[in-house]
Amino acid sequence: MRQVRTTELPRPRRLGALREPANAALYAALLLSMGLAIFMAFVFAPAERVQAEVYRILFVHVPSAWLAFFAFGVVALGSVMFLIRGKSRWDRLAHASAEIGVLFTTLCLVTGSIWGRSVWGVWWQWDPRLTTTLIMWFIYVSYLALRSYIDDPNARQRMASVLGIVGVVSVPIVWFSVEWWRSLHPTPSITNPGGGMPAEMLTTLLVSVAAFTVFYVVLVRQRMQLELAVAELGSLRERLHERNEDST
Amino acid sequence: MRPSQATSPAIAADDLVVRLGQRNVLRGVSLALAPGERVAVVGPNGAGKTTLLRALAGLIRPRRGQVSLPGGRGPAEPAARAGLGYLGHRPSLYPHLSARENLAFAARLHGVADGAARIEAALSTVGLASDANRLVRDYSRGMQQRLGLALALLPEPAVALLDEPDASLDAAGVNDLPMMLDALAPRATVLFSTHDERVARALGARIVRLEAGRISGATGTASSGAASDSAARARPPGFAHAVWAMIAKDARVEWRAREQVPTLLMFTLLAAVVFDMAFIAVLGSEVAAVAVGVLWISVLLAATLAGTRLFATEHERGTLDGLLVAPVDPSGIYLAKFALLALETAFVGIAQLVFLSLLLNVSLFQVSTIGAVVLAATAISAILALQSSLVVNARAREMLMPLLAIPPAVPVLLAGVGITLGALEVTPAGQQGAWFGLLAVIAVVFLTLGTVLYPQAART
Amino acid sequence: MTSDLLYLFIGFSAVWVGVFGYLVYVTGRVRSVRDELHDLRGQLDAPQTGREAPSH
Repeated sequence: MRQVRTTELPRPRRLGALREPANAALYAALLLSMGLAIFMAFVFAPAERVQAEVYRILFVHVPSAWLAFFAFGVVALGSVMFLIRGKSRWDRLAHASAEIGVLFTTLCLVTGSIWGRSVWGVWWQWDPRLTTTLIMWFIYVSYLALRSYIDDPNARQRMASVLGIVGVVSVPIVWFSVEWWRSLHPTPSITNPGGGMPAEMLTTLLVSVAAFTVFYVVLVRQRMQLELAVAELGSLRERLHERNEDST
Repeated sequence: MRPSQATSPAIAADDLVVRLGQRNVLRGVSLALAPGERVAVVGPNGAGKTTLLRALAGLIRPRRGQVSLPGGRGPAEPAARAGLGYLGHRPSLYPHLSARENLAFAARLHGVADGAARIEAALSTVGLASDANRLVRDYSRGMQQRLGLALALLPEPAVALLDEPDASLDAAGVNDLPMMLDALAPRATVLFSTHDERVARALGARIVRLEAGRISGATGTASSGAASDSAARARPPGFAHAVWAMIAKDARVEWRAREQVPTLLMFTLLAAVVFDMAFIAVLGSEVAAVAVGVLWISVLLAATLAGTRLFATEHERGTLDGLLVAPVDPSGIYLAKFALLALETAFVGIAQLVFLSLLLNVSLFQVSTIGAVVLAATAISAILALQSSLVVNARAREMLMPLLAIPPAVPVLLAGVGITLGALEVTPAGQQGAWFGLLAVIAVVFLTLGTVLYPQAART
Repeated sequence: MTSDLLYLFIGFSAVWVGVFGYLVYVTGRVRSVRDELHDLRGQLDAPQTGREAPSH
């Protein structure tokens, strides 16, 4: 095979190559923190008085919820920065974060539903926390839908940025819903240290949240690289197209 | 290309790069026109002529490079567009308004002084005086082009950007073109595109060739016209005045076309009859709950239906460009569209209160329920007007719009249901104040978001 | 009690399958797009004459 050379474009990097120190460190951190989180969730944290073992679902449910909020916050940040600076990188961050936010919201709803089935005996309650979370999910699904329905990249970036800013209004509504309306859902246990959670449980929860946050960073990086590669593919095709037009 | 004079150029583009889709349509265009100069941009189809004119008018954000209009300001500044006349690829005309009404709207939007006299002069210059009261939809393509020219030059702009002014004109029209320009904008700096170099020469223009997004050559001498320090005839209108002009225009269009309100009324009546029949037949006793449910379902769906078309019709007819080049902050366009949608939604909602009161024999027609409908219409329209502007470029927007519209409407529906159930004494009436407060807060939040964010979505 | 453990198991599996599945999916997509990029770069670098336009 002849070694090809391109003039302007960077060489393709092997994705997620462990040779790269940053990637290696990130994946090591991911494995370590995840291993620790699982160990603590099942071994370190004691069984609960009323719920016995099933409460341990908390250690994936709460981090999912936290990351959903965090991801949607990043969507708003990326959107604002895109509108100010006009750099596609910010829009890629918003897009990646929205998709991952939707993933974690889904997982939060699914784990919550399973937990609810076990504790309340039903899969779904018309509870403010649950309902507002579901609506937040719809809002960001519609954000992703808007992106996929607009073909022109410039229009897509601008329109999505506007919606990404509007959508973040739903985050505080979900957050405060347990306080604004009477709710079956437990109130936040991290911001409420006197809430009677044993120290081991709280530590485990914090470690889980940290581990999931590392996971979020890995996912966002990967998703942004995909976005970058797709954009590059588009412009490369266009260049090839133009060159073929020129030569005819 | 620098102007030969020492005076600062009337309009200049510096290293303009515009990317549409994946394609660089303009690849570094620099251009400067001396005051009073006429320049023709010629080039094959797809060379980027239309894109260049749109970028100069501020309708497209360039990826790189700068545009400066008289006073050295960019076209994104509303005040800089005060001396700007723009004729797009399609003239910015409302088919349901007469020629005179189209011009009158443009005059208000651009703040043209002594509008009425100027309109009559413009109409007779372009040879449409005897057809001035006919609706534009009955005009031939050539007549529309003449009217579009009159409209672009109505404010006697210091700078006129004309995209193929000779398009669809007959031989007589093309012959008249220099006369029309001289009469309507004698001192204007004119940049126009054309396929026909004879037109360029007839207008005494310097010719600039555009090919594949680059300027490839220029011929003809830089004709410095009578250096115009023409204090333009137009003064930018007050913001509220412009918003009001846009609302009045839409109301007039709706009055003529009857596209929205009668259909929405039929829709609500149909919803009332069909849902009532289906639910009452089964539920029987829960009349109040059915009435409240049907009321808010139909209000939300009517608003979504009307909201989908809010910006789409302007976009499809090319008239949105006409609004965007006016020397008005784009948030005014949002506010006008919001007001129109809120009026329609509130009207339909109040009609539904009457329908349901009659059909179900409940006392829904009360001060508090009317207030709830009006406030809810305000809140829903505030968010829908913004979202309507987001989907103008989307495929299958009538599918997408409900997806965007319904989730943010949930708190509005909650409050609306709370108030109306209270009014029917299903729930204690004491909580109504809190629900009204919630509606007001949502309306303010959404209106603020729309006003701040629409200008970002207006130009891509 | 055993059904509780079952719910716990389902909950954890859902999360792990979801998150890792997504990671694998995105990584796979990146790889295929990179491969396609590589092919296209090859075409761009190749001598201009005698090349056919790619169909897409």
